[in-house]
Amino acid sequence: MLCILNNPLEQFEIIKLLGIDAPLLPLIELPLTNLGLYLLIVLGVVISGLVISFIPARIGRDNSWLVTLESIYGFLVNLVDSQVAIAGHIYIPAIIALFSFILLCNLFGLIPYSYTVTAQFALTLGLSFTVLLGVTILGLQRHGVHFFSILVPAGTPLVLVPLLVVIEAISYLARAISLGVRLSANMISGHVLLKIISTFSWQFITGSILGVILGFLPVLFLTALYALELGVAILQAYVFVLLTASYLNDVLSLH
Amino acid sequence: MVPSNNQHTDPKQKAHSIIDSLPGNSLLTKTGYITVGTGLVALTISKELYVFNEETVVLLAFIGLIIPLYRVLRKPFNEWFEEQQKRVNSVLDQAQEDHKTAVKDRINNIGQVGDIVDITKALFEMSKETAKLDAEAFELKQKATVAAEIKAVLDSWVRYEASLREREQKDLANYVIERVMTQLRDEKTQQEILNQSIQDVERIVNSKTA
Amino acid sequence: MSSTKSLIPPKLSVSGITGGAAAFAQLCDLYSKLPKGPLVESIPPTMPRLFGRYWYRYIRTSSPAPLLHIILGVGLMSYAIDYELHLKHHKNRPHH
Repeated sequence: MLCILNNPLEQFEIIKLLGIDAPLLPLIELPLTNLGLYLLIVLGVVISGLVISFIPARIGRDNSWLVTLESIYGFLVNLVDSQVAIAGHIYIPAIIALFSFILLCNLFGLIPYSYTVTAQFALTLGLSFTVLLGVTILGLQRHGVHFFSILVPAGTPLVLVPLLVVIEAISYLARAISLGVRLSANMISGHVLLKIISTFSWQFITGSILGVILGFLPVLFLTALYALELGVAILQAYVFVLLTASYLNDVLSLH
Repeated sequence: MVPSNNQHTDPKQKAHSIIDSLPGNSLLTKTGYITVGTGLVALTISKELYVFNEETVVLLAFIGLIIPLYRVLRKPFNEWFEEQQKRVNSVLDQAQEDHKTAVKDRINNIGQVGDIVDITKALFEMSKETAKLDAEAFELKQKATVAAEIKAVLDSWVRYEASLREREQKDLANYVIERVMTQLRDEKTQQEILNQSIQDVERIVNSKTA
Repeated sequence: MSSTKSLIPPKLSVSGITGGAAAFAQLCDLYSKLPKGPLVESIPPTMPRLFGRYWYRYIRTSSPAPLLHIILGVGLMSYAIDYELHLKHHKNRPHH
């Protein structure tokens, strides 16, 4: 039997679900894509989760969601404390917003039939460029012209300074790309792997009577893979904010 | 639903646990849920509302991951939550106890001065009396001072009078003595005295001879 | 001679011990706002009826079930979108 494999990247397609045409200008359109829809879902879950968390469970008993949120908050505060040397506490809300957004996008992407928002390079690169731009503005605001000393490592021989400035500038700007690409690439690779394995498993199960009997084997394998993806989803959200915090530390306390 | 040999769970118990896990209150609603649920599943599959494809395998794997994970993590999460709850509650209880003792202390403090009106009245009464006694003492003291002053004046007057009299007597005596002396020094007087003395002597002698 | 000032008795007052009338009023205010009587468990009247019942069943008991509900909800919605977009075109075709 000839089987045509679906393109495993098909799941990342951005599809217009609804579109409001703005007829004033011919090119302007306000579409609601599946990307936008899942972003709205994440937003809704974050907001309703916060609202529900702050309703006391009953007298003399906390809401367990609030306690969970508090422990996540404490974890992120520890992260910022360990990464940012100077006055990092005012950036904790930004770190928490980033973490919860990325974590929820990653986790919702794992639900079958749903759409992985963080697998879109447009979104993650947008996030990482925003982070780097914000961090750079912070550094310029705090240190003025001295901010550019971040491009010259301490104790560089004078001859090497022009070369090192170029190298350091490139590495500094490359952070914006690497931060976003790391997240998206992890998500894409995981989902593509799941898709490919599941396609082959489906063909194995439906192909013969043996496949129906031994069909639980690929499902078990896929379950293990799913557990791995769950770990990756949480880890990547953590890595993203960890790196954000360390970039923040770099510009706040030059060297 | 037939238990295997190494699992000695009562099949009735297991059935109950499955029934209990369904939503609803009475057995009737539960059987209703089961009927509706199976009917819906049959309908979705027969009408191909649910399309079987490779994503079904993913769905199965997902369910196979999520349900055991939920079951396994539920207990440690609850234990952790109870621990946190205990910690928070102990802090709150401690605060409540502290507040209670603080309020009790305050009540005790106020209780100590419960008869504050009487005490203040008595204090005012006492200070009134003190003022009165002070005034009396002052009056007596003034009187005594006046008397002492008068006595001193009179004493000095008496002393002056006495010294004046003494001097007058002295002067008088001196005058008399002086007069006598001057008279004695006078010839005529001396003669008179002499004559008198001779007459006296003659008279004595006459009387003796007689 | 004692002056008249020494005759006035020391000023005694309750407010000197309790910390003034303002503090006392604050204390009264606090206690008047505290709930009185035995503990009553009910759905807060400010909640919408449907959410109130959900809250009473799943949030109040600190059950982790809402996680499953979110997963189920998002999954069903995702399936509906997938079905509309391309799954319905694969009907009656067991393989692609």
